[in-house]
Amino acid sequence: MSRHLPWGVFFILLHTLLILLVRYLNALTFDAILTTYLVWRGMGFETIGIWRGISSAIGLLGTCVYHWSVNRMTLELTGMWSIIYEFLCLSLSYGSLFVDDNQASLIMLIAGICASRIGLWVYDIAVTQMMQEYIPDGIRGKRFHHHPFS
Amino acid sequence: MMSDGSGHQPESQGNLNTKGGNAAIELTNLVGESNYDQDGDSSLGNKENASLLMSQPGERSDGSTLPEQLETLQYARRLLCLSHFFAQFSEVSWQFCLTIFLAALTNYKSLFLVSTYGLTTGLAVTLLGSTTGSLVDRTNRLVAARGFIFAENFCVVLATMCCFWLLSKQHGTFTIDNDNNSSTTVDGHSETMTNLQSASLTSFVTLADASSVLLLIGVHVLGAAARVLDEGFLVAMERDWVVVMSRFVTNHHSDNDNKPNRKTNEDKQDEGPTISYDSRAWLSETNVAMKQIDLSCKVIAPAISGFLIALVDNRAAFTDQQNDHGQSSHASGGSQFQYAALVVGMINVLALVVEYHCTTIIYKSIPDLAFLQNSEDCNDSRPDASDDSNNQVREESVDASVARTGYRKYLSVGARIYLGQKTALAGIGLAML
Repeated sequence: MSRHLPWGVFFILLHTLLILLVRYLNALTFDAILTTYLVWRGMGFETIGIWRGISSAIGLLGTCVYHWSVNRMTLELTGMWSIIYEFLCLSLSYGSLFVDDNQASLIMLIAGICASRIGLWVYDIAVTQMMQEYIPDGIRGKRFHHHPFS
Repeated sequence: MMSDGSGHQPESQGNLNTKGGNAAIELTNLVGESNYDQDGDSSLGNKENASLLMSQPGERSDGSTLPEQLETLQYARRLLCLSHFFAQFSEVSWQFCLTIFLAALTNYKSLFLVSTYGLTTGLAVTLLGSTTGSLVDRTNRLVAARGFIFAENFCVVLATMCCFWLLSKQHGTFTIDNDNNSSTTVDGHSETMTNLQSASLTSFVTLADASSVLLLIGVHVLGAAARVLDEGFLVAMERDWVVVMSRFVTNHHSDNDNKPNRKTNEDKQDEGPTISYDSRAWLSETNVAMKQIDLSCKVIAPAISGFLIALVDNRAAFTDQQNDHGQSSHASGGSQFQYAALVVGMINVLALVVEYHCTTIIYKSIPDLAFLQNSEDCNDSRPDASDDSNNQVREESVDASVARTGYRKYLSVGARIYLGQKTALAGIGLAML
């Protein structure tokens, strides 16, 4: 058993590293990193605040979209379209890096992020419900952990 | 396991007895029903029965009709949402205010405390999250939920007291500094500036005495503990209670007996609205409602807390202006945050009361919550090859989840259970977002 210990440590480290990478390398949310970046790009605090509010409102809209979607198609399909939609939206944000015009680039970035909120929350609820339905009773607590994004 | 069972059974019995008089549900029938709720494989001696599976045909409780049960369910959901709102609101406002308090303790000169706090809570959640989860699985639901509520809010209230102490201490040193400044510094802008800088430096140094360090450590530990407990409570409510509640009507109404077994259907990936009354719709509605509460609290709670702090801050600045000249209040941090800390503590006490009562009422109105299934039971107590496909499916899933094959043998039991589930990839995908 002690033979496996280095491997176990290795996996724990890898896992932690992966979580940290994934956690801090994405600019999905209007978190501290994105705010700093936008300020660096020359955006005003008021504008950032307003867009932050708008992205929250769009996130709330996402819950309604989920409700609409799950009544019309299966849970799996809902999850699929939402994650693909989110990927497309974030591709838009990523594409903004290659736009030379500062203003247009910022608009693309923020529009992509705001639009992706719908996909994010729809996917979130869909996966949550899938877990609720498919996982047997006794191991539910062990199985779930809270997702890191805010 | 034994202690769980023996501790759990009287609780549910007592609960049923007290509930019998006023409930819309026939509870005595349920006690009988629970014994063969497990599709035949659980003997009478089996101490814990799952509410996961559907009841046998003819086990209908005649005391409660479907509308009554639905009404009970709706009522329970409303209470759940209320409890969730208070939990989220108190948690978010506490986290938000604590960040500001920690920044204020270094006089906004350093992010050291904020980052150490983030590190502590992150580590605690990573290391203890799985333990909390298995605690949720093993313990009686009401006991676990009450324990989480009490412990979490107690930690937060203690931590706010630590904050209060620290902040008032800091404010005390500042006022002394300000008095010195006003007495020694006669005039001259540059001289005032240097004095202000030294004041901020000394404030940081004076914070480093023994009791302050102890209090800061206390804030870190209590905050991390509260965070872990909050996660545990969220997992218990959002993932476990909600599922059991959604199956409550299905379990106790005979109209659905002719319909195909829900669990089997799902495992065959057979989607359809005819699985149960509309437990999936109920589940998704509840999920949506709770997510909406989550998101609104993330917006509202910091706004309200910020407003509160600004209110206290302004009054502090105003009184300081009366005492002293204008910018000294700003230089001293201008903050009487300690009262804001007290307000946050009171919000948490209120949340404790509300959550406690809500969970108790929900637990009493949904008797299924009293029955618990152990993961050990999944493995051990099924020696006979049952003809029911449920058991086989369940066994397969649990066996697959703990099988030590391939690279998985290097992982912990929790990780193996995680990867053994069908939704593992989707969950990993979600966690990566």
